[in-house]
Amino acid sequence: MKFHLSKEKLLEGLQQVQSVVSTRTTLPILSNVLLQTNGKGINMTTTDLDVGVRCNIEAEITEAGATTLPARRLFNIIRELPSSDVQFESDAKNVASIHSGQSFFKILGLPEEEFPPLPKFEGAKVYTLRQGQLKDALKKTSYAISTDETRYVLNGILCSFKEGKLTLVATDGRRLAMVDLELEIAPGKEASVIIPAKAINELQRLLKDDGEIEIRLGENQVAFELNGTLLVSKLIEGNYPNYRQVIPNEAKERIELERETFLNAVRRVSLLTSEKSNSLKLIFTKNNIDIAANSPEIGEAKESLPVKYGGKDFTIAFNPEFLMAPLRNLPEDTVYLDLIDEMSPGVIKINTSFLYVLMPMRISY
Amino acid sequence: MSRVALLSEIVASQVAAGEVVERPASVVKELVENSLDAGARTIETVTARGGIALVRVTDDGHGMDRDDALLCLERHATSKIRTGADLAAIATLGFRGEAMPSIASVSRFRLATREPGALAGTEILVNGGKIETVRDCGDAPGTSVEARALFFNLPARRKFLRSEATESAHVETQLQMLAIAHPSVRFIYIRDGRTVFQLPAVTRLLDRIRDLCGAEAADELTPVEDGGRVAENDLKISGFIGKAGVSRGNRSSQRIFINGRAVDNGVVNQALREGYHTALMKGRYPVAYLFLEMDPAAVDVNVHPAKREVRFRAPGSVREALTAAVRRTLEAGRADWSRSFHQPPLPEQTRPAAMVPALAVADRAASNSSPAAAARFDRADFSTPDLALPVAPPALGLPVAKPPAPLFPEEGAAVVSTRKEEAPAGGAPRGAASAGAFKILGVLGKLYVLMENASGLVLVDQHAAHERILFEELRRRLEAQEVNSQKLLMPLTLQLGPKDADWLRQNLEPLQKMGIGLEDFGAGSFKLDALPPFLQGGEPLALVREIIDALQAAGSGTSRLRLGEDMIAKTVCRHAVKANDVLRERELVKLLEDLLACELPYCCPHGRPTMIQMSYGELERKFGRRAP
Repeated sequence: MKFHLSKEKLLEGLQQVQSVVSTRTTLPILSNVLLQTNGKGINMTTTDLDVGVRCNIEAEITEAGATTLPARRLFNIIRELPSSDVQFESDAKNVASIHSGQSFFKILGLPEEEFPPLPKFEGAKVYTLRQGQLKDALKKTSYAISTDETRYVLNGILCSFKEGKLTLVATDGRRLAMVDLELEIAPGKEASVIIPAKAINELQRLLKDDGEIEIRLGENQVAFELNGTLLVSKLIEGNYPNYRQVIPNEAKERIELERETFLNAVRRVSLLTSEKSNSLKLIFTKNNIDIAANSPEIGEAKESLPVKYGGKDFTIAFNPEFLMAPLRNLPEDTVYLDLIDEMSPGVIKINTSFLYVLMPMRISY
Repeated sequence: MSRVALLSEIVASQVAAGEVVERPASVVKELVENSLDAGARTIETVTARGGIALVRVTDDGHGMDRDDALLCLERHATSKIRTGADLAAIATLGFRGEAMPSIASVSRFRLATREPGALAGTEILVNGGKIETVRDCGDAPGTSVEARALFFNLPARRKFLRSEATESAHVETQLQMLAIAHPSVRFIYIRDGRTVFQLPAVTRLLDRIRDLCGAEAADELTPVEDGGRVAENDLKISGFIGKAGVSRGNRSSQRIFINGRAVDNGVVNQALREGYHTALMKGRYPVAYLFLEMDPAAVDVNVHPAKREVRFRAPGSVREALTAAVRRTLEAGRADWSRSFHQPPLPEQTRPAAMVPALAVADRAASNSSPAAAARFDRADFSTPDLALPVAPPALGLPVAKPPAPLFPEEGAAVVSTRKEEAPAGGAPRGAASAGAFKILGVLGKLYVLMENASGLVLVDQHAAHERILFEELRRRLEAQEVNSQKLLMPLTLQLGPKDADWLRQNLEPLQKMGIGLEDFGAGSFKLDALPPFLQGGEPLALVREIIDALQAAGSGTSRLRLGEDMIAKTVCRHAVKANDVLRERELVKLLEDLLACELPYCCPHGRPTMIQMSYGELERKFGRRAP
């Protein structure tokens, strides 16, 4: 295999695929990136057996072929190359030579055949949507994914293709974020799958504001094709909890909040919550919220926020981190906080389709 | 023909023997207990070939007349109880009236006894349950019982005996237990013609333990602080337990006696463990010689023929009393422990020669009143040319040591070179133990603080010490405030067995206080809808189950932070100073002072020791100055 291309092109491609490579693996081939020539350039593929990424970069091919090379090392070398012009060549023994300016590198690779092939998607259900839309929806939900590996079904985002919309749901059992996206779903294409957090992270990195993304749903895998890059991932098997039942049907009080102002106030007050008794009180009085926190061993903080509020006086406590997470990830200027009473879930909403349910804390001081 | 037939007396005895006489050690136990019940002052036990060939127990007790001697070989004949009411309050070791006929039925048996006033004694020979000879004999006052060829007529049973060495070990353990339980009785044990031990009658239990287990084992013990009788069941706890940090790999060093009877009881074992709590590493067992005295009516010993098991009428209160006593003892032990640190090192002339140069650090009071004077360090020795050993400062001094420069620059001019004799600053007289001056010699490997106290060298693990300090601080802090609880989005159902469910139903409120929201749903199921915020990660149901198990074992009245302790231990581990963190002298002083102020300073929350004492004796042995 022999080709030549610009350093920047090569770097761009490696950047897209290298983050999938696992750092600790018992299978050396998984540390490698697969390079294959095609008609117009080369394909680069990496996988950790759960998630795989393939991208195309343009190159001038002089001799077709394929090889695999250690991805991180290759990336570090390419990044440091002195000249923009890169000559790449690999022999039958998978020894690759890289020439660039006055530099010369020889790297030992592994044969292409050892590289686990990415799954095929035949007879898959295909959906198309705008990248910007999905990117926005993932940003609004992915922070609520559970990192607790004992409840593996929660370690991903539920994607439900039903009733003319794609619903994305993430929860860790204490709060839940949900977004609905309008999507035309042909009959027989309804589906509900859980996409693991790692694939979501990769996808968020690859998503751009413009262009389209094609989602292909196989039996237990999913593929995303966008900007000429292919991302495939296994799905999390299992039953996602019935999230509908935790969403309150009604709200007694709706408080309109300026997102930035509220977020900043909460962040300031939360400086005085201790790591262990992580709670923050919202004290509602007429046209005012007091955001308060106290830790006996540190001190206390309070900030008043004028709001429109005409309901009865009451106090509710939340985990400040759970309260701030959606505020940080929403672009909207105005958010609504829907509450029922101090022991019922609170809901954060915006004017478009978004919903965040968070459970209050029972506090006793 | 009738299918049911009455067993002959001998067969019935043999059946009963199966329960009472399991192995030679049980023969020894029954016979020695009889001797003790007979008021013996000296008990001699002789065994041959692991007790299989011979067990002979001779005592100087009150003996029996001929009628009694014959009667005692009948089943259910006993001098110890008379009516069923006596069973409710058994004060003697034996009472079932089974031991003698049982042993007699499975061995070649000889009983010789004489009452002190009687002219002649009685000798009875029994062979496999059949009385063969009854005659006069002339023995010393007391009783001698001999069982030879155990199980000679029960080959199946004999097959189940272990090797002679194993049986011997069991006999010895049994005798040790009995000897510990009765220090005022002289015990002699002769095995295969050799005296294994000969324990003089002593008045103090500790002397008996020392005689039996050696001085070193006895030094590791501390007397149990009995917090007064527990009113409810008049329980009195005495004996010795291992000091904090003393542990064994198994339970064999836990000797528990209830009303003088050695028992193995789960409640007591749990209470002991719970009392030690963080003073023991996981998988280690405490050392204990514990005596529980209680109203005989409050404990049922008639559970098992060998009486190894007992049942308490109120296990909860026994457990709580015992746990409290152990905890009190360990906390009291702290006072002695910290006193040994505050003892000023021995005067120069009595110290072994060639002591390393030392930094004398003044007590905290002195440093508060005159910070400048607080740090007078013995720099002189580092530069003394005629120092016997060429000591390299970096190896011994504090890590910041640069020989020519003042050790702690921030102390400025206050660094005054003094001789050791003048070391304690602020005018505190050297001899005053209350001055609280401990001597920090330096830090080894940026981890071990070397200190000197009256008995020698002390090594303190700075990480473990700091962990313990933070652990107690955080726990105190959290105890002061209520535990919050985070509601769950989706309540979970917990399904429990009837026993657990019953326990849980009665303990919903304490759990609520711990931040666990549980609601009874009936039929053994509970709804879990809230968890304390620090219980994150891990399957909630599994966590709650674990907590329920732990709390059940720990008994009620435990700290409601009990379930957060693992979390606290983990947190403080992160925040504590690590190995390789260079601590300045002032930080060291503070660390040690705080450590001494801890409830349980000797070990970190995981149970690893925070400090190790190397006595002068140990050092002298290592240097060959003293015979080991």
